[in-house]
Order: sequence, then C-alpha cells, then structure tokens
Amino acid sequence: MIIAQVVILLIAVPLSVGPFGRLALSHGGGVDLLLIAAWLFAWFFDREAALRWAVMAGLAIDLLNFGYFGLSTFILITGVLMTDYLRKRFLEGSSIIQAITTLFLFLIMSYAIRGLFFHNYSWSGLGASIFANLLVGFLLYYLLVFRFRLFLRWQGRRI
Amino acid sequence: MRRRQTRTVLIAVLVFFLIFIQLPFARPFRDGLRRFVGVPSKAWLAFDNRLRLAGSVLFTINDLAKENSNLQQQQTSLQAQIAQLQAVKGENEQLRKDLNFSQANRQFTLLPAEVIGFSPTGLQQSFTINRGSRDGLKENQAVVSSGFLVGKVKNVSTATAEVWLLTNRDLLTPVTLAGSQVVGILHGSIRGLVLENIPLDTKVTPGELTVTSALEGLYPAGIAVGTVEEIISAKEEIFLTLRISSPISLSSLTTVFVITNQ
Repeated sequence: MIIAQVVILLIAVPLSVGPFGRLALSHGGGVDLLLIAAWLFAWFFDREAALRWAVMAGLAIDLLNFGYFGLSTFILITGVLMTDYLRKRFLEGSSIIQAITTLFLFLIMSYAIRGLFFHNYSWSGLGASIFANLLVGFLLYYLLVFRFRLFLRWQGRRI
Repeated sequence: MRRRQTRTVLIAVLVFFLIFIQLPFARPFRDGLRRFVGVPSKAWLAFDNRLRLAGSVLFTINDLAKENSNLQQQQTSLQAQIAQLQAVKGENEQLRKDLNFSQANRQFTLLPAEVIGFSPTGLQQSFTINRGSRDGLKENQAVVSSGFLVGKVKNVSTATAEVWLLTNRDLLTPVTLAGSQVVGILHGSIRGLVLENIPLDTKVTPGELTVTSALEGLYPAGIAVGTVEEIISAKEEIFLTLRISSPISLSSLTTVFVITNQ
C-alpha cells in the first residue's frame, strides 16, 4: 500500500503543481487531485492509510509552495479524520450519495480554511471548482465501486 | 503498546521535521525539491499544451470537413503544422515583445525566469519561478511579461521565488491613469482587477492605458499594467472604481522577467 501511495504521489504532485495548478490559477479554482485522493483513501481504505497519504501529500505541497507551512497537511489530516468519522459513525459506507456528501464537506472545509489565509476566493470560481471536484470524485467512485468492485472485495456487499 | 510507541516516535519525528524545515539552512533542500518537481511538472504542462493544440486542430478539422471533404487529410496535416507553428510564433512574439520592452527600457535589468510550479487550489494567486536570491532576486521586485506588469516577487529562497500576481487580493499596486495622471490603487477582487481611489471628477475613458506609479517606491514608474474596461462604482460612492483588463493570459505564462535594479 505504501509503495502504491508513493507512486500515486509521484504522479499526482507534479500534475497538481503543473497543469491542474495552472488551470486553478486562471479559473479561480480547479480539481484538487490530492484532496480527492485523501477522500478516496479514507473512504475505501482504513484511517491509517488515509492519514499516511494526508501527511505525505500535505508535506509535499507545503514543501513545494511558499506561504503558510503546514496548512495543506493540516487541511488534509482534518479532512481525513472528518471523512473517517462520518463514514464510521453516521453514514453507510457503500452509499454513493453519502460518499459524495462527505467529499462536499471536505471541500467546503478546505476552501473555508484556505479562504481565511488567502483572500482570493471568487464565488463563481469556487462553485465551478467544487462542482469539478465532485464530478471527478463521482467518476472515480463509480469506477472503483461499479467497475472494479472494490466494495465487493473489501466489504463483502454491493451497492 | 509497541504500536503506540512507534506512533509516538513517528509523530515526534514529524514535529521535529516540521520545525527543522522552517530554519534558513533547510532552504536549499526545499529549493532542490521545487526544481526537482518542476521538471515533471513542466513536462505535464507541455503535454497539456499539446493536448489543447490537438483539440483546437480537431475542431478545425470538423469545420473543414463540412466545407471540403476531399481536402480533409491534407488539411489535417497542414492544420497540425499550423498549430505547431502558431505555438512557436506565439512564443516568438512574446520573446520579441520582451526584447522590445528591454530595448525601450534600457535602465531596467531584466532577469528571465521560468515558471516551475503553481499552487494546487489557485487560491494563492501566485506561482513559483526558478530564480532566487543567488540570482539577485529580492522581495518586491516587479515581474513583467511582454512589457506588462504581471506581479511582484513576494518570497525569495536561494534558488526559487514566489511571485504574487496582480490578481492577488492582498497585493496592492499603485497605478497611474496615463491620460489624467491620477494615481489609484490596483488589486484583485471578486470582480477581476479593480482600480480604486480615483477622484470623482477624473475624466476616464474606456481603453485608457494604465501604468505603474513610483508612489511608495514599490515599482519603477511607467510599466504598462492594462487598459480601463469600465467604471464599476455606484453613483453614490465618493471615489471612482474602475475595472482594468490586462492583455496577459496567466494560464499561458511560461517565462517571465524580473526587474532586478528598480
């Protein structure tokens, strides 16, 4: 699992600070690959794997970017803990609606915290960004659950 | 018990690392990491550019097919060549503009820098360049592209630096209206680039050029910023607020110039 996460990180980080970052800069927001990956790890795997991802991905972005050091790591760790809590306590693990709702809350939390530090939000950009992230999250969830049957393998039940 | 101890050690190492990495002597490590990630990041950016060009070529092919299906194949290869040439031409034009700017402003020393990274969310409205204090960069130096102001150097490390863009809300830039010579404050906002604090009796015409002001000693005077698009302030306001448009497309910036002797 660690090796897989490192490989994903090596692909996702240059993409995030490259084309996706450029897109986000010009449109006031975009798809946050690292956040979506953190949500997927928290939803489909255990808390430990998700926290490991949050620390690795968060530190990578904090080291690469200037500004408030530790902010990305904090946001990802908080989001993972929130996702894990919601998945275990309130929600049904195999519900796509609840999974997407959790991603939505994760995104809102992320933008709210970042908005406090960087005052560059634009409502249209945020709306488009949240929609794009939810769409990508939905597609990945669909692929993992319906196509690759991850829930069938790991949780012993189907949607 | 043992697992708990391992976890405690890991957390302790993480905290130590977080503190260590903040210290000045850790800067080269972070610079190296930025440049290292900048290589695949630039490769992804180049791939992204090619995808966009290919997309534009495909749309063109679609139109051409309707007009003349016999020439479609020939058009395809020609369009692909044109797209490639346009990309080169665009780059050439930008470099030519930069050269013109450099020749017209010989008092400025321009240091070319490559854009090597962006923030993943776009909320920082900044990017990272591959130049740092060892190249003579200092905080608050102006950054230009094609002769237009793009932003300023905000944070400087040894081999990399962060550039805040004009669209950043926390970056306030004194700007002069070229016609009336009235100075206002430019910053990013939810409505785009806005110029505030312009006296009500100022005569403003859409299309009027705006240039940097030497007020506060932040920037050299006379660098083009953009043109007035429209007046957006309400009638009851005591100052005029103008929306400014810049011809520089942030999403296509690959090379910028830093004015190092302002």
